[in-house]
Amino acid sequence: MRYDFFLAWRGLRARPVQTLITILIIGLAVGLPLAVLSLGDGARQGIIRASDPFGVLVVGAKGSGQQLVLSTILLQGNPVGNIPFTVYTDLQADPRAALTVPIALGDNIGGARIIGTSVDLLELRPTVNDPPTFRIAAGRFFTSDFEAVLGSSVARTLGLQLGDTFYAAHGTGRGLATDLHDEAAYSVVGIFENTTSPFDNAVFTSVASVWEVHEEEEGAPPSLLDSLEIGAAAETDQITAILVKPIGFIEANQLWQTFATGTVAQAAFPGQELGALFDLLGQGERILTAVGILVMVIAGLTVFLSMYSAIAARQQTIAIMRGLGGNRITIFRVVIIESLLVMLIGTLFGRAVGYGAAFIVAAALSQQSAIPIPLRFLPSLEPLLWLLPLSLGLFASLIPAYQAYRVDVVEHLFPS
Amino acid sequence: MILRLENLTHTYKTAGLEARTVLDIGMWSLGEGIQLLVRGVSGSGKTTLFNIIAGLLRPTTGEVYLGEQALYRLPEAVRDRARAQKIGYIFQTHHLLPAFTALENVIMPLQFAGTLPASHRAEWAKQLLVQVGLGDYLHHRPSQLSTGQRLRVAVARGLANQPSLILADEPTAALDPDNGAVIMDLLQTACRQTNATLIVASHDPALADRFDQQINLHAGKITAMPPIGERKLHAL
Repeated sequence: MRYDFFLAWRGLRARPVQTLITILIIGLAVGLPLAVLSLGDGARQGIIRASDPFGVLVVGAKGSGQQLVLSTILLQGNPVGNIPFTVYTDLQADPRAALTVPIALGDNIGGARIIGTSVDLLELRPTVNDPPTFRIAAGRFFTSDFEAVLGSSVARTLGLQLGDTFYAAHGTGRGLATDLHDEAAYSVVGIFENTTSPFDNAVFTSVASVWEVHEEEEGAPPSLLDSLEIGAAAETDQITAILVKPIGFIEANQLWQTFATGTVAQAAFPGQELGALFDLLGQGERILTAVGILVMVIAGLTVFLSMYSAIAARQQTIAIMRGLGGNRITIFRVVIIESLLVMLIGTLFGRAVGYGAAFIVAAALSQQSAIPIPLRFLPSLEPLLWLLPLSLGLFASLIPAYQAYRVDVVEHLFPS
Repeated sequence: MILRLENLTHTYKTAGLEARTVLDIGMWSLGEGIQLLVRGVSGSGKTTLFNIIAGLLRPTTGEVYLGEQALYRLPEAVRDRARAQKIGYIFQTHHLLPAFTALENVIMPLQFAGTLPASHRAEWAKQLLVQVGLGDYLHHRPSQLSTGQRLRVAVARGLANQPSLILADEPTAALDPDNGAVIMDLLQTACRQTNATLIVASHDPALADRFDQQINLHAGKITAMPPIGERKLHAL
């Protein structure tokens, strides 16, 4: 049997280009669905992880609940609108709310969103038994206006340190030097530990600081830059959203109901809204997985063609082996092993392609969206990712193996 | 007797053409250690006879006995193994496997026969190649060897399992007389050392003196040849 592997390996090495191309195709066929499924899983994990640090209820302007959750928790896109600050003060006084954290989305510094909030932010934790999500790595939390605490990746990417000052830029895009709110400078007083959430790419300051930046512009004629300040809590008596940690499950539903029947704001459960997002992700994944399986079938056909043409070209070699005492079963087995070896190498290569591509795409997406996409080994996929290509390899080699099995020894040893 | 043919015929049937009997041998046998030259013009049936003796081509009628074993009553896989173990076949065009080195070509029949322990096969194959003068060419592929060297590899491969019967089909056809003589010396000496029976098919009349016996194949039938001694007298 060991010698059969040697013969199969030699058979593959005898046609290196054909073998390499087949391995490449299999690698891509395995890698494509693996990358898609791996990224899908990473995106799910990333979103779940990103929504971990917050209370179970997000309160914001009426409109799309999904947009509210995405803009508040994942810092994706623009918020639906703003809500009166009184909603926050009312909730603070509401006995059903254990914790309320204001979120006033402001301008940006180097693409990182400036968020007006309060010290209650430090009380957020995934569960009661977990440590707080936001922990100071260096310096302290802000205590007065225009003091800022940086998310871990902001400090890293912008190279800001404690004591540094910076100006906010208009809107949510990466600020140009000419777009600066140069009326008031923020000074860095603290840097958060890494939270592996989009908030690592945010800057935290007081709600009043966000308001003051815009208050100073009041009276000036509306400019193009003002129109670009989409999503910023520019009005002084408004904030973007409130993170509410209800005291219990019943109270959470009561609060949700209160806002659902009111006209001022809405409340949304991140889990529910993100669940709908996962459904969308799932649909895309299903389509891409189906495409991946089709590609794999095409790879199976490539193996078939490769083996079929190889056997057609190697009939004399097979006849010589038979002439030297090799029997038909050995020849049949060698062809099957050859095909399985190609599939095996292709599948291993596909692992590298799949996880490699997923890693690169995940890194790019994470940088773009600030939502971490943690990749992990997917054990549940392993049986499928091994069995499907190897079964296809086996199936694709049956006809060529039978062709080799039936080679007429005399005819091919003595063609004349 | 090492080899016995009984009522052997072989007929080729081609669609649309008349059936053609290329071999028709009644009873014929060959003893152990004999070196036989088979002569005959092209198309006389030499290669067909060799293929039938080697167990590669089932005769239309009759049987081949290798020792006491009726070759064509054996299941094909057993016949294949018997070929590997008991018959060394040196093909006219050597038929070395191009993707394998000289050493690997010689190891192959050892693997198929399975008689020598796996750990000894490479060493034994090396010895054989050294014996045929290719000690420095163990890892050369056939394309890197001369015609004469390829034939030497084929001889080493034919001797690998120390078979009791060696068939060599026109082994010197592609060589000049000097190289042809070297190859024949190698082959005949090796057969004498192991008491193997050697059957060589050749057109070359110069080889006649080297053999104990010779037969002539004509239209698939064995025709008697005068004994070696008598032929030498005629020549005088």
